[in-house]
Amino acid sequence: MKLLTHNMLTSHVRGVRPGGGFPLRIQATEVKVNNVDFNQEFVARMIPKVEWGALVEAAESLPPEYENNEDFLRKVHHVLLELNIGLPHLAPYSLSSYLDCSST
Amino acid sequence: MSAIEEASDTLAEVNLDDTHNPLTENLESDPSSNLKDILVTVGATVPTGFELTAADEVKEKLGSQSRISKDRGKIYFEISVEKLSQVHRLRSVDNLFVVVQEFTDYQFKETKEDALKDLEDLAKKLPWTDPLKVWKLNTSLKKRKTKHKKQNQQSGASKEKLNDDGGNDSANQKDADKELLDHAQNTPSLKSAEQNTEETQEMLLPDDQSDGKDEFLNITGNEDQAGDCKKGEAEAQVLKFRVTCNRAGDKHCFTSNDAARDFGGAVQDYFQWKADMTNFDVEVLLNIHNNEVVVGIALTEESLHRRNITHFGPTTLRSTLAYGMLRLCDPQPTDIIIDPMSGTGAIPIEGATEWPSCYHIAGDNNPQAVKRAANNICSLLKKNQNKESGTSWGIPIDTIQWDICNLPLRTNSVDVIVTDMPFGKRIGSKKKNWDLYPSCLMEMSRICRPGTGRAVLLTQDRKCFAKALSKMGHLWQKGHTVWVNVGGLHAAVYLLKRTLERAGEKRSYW
Repeated sequence: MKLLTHNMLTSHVRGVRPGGGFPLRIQATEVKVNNVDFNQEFVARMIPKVEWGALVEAAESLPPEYENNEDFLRKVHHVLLELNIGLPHLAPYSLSSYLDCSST
Repeated sequence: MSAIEEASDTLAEVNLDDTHNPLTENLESDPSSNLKDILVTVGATVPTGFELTAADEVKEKLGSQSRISKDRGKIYFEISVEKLSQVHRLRSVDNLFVVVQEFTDYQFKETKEDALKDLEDLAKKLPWTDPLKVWKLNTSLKKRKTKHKKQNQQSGASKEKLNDDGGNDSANQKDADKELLDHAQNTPSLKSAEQNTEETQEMLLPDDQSDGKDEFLNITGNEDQAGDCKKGEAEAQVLKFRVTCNRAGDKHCFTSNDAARDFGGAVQDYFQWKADMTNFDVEVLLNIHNNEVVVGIALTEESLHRRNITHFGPTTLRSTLAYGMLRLCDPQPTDIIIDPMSGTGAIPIEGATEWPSCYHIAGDNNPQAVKRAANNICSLLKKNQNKESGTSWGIPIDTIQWDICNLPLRTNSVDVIVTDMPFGKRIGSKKKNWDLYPSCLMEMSRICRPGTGRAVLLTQDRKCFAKALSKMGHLWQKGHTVWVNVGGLHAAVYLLKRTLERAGEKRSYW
């Protein structure tokens, strides 16, 4: 599973606290890196769609004028698309057990 | 699929070679022998209902205007031969053929005998020359492809040699084509069948001769290959063919079998080809639809919809149909496109290959289906790996197992939903659809971005869908509907636009 997918996932259980079941906690079974063609426009336009706070701990680390900051966008690209967390177990932070999640 | 793609790549190479070797002497003596100058009409069968989408794609990728046949499920467009490789890269077409001749208002005789006799006579009068050249160009590549495979063990040097010869091949082919054309011009009436046979042979021999030369030059002394070569030559002398007739309309006094048999007999007499129903080189198509008759030569051996998918489920969608559905929703860069009932993933996989600047997620509630989708993605990655020699490039797609009525996705996080819903025939039931459709439309409206979000949904249970949608008019605005034929079932593809209205919040948080 790519972290971009993880960023869109939330618990399907109603009213889970804290945070309404988002983001899901990851227990990665393996971490792989898969090369994906870098597309600057794609990453730049994806950033507003990503819950940045969930992607990195400090939301303020998003640099100003990131649209043209290629170094930064390459890093985001790597994190969102190239890192692969295998078939992770996912769970809301309030639960102690993990969900099974089939994925590539 | 890969074979076709490789073939079309080779085709592109050949065309490139053509531009490098302008063959001036040919041009001077006979300009019309230049293969590139030939304009041909190509016919394509497309999923019924998606003719307009396919015509759109042809316009966009080839710049040709298409004619949509009255006979639903077919489009025709004119191209110059140099674009042949691009035609094979079209995504919304199933089968391709080059049109020999088209009769929009063919008058069939009253009696069966007379009508069939007319068809027989027709075979001799048709302008076969250019379509056969196109067929030849199309096929010579497939043949070369298999030769490449056979000689894989040989050293790289001799492979290069073979590639060099590829250019000469096409040069020789041109000579042959020129001769053919000369003959055609010298004997404008084209009466003599014998002469024509000669021509066909001439057309074929140069390929093999040059291959023969190639063997000698390499001095590999490999007896097997020499044998292969001879065998190939023997095979090339008599082409094998079949006639496939498709007939529709109620005013015909003959069956498609009658037509195929008699027309085939005439073709055989004319070209001296050998009939072979299973192992044929040329497939002549005879399409009869009411008063419309189209004679063509097939350019595809199997439908182009067979691509991407290696692990099938009970209701796996054709890739060409998947492409058509995706095209309907006009994906924009960075759109997040999901198929919440993806099954084996036909739609998201087609999406990830054709729209790599979007992000695709395939989800299903059946663990088996999710596994198959994952396997299909893996085989696609492996195929990419072979091409790029070692490095595997990822594609923007992920698979997840989920419940359509309770999606684990953030509210307003998805731009496009494209899915093939359970018809209630092979999967699910009509009764279950009455619960499923309303709640899945509701859940889709939650995850789909208001204002810009859209959905393209395929279903055969139109009554149930219409009812479910009528209750959700405030969330989904209905665009146009495309009526399609899915394996003989009359189904509909609905294009919906997400309104600005907020969805009924089951969860208020994200």
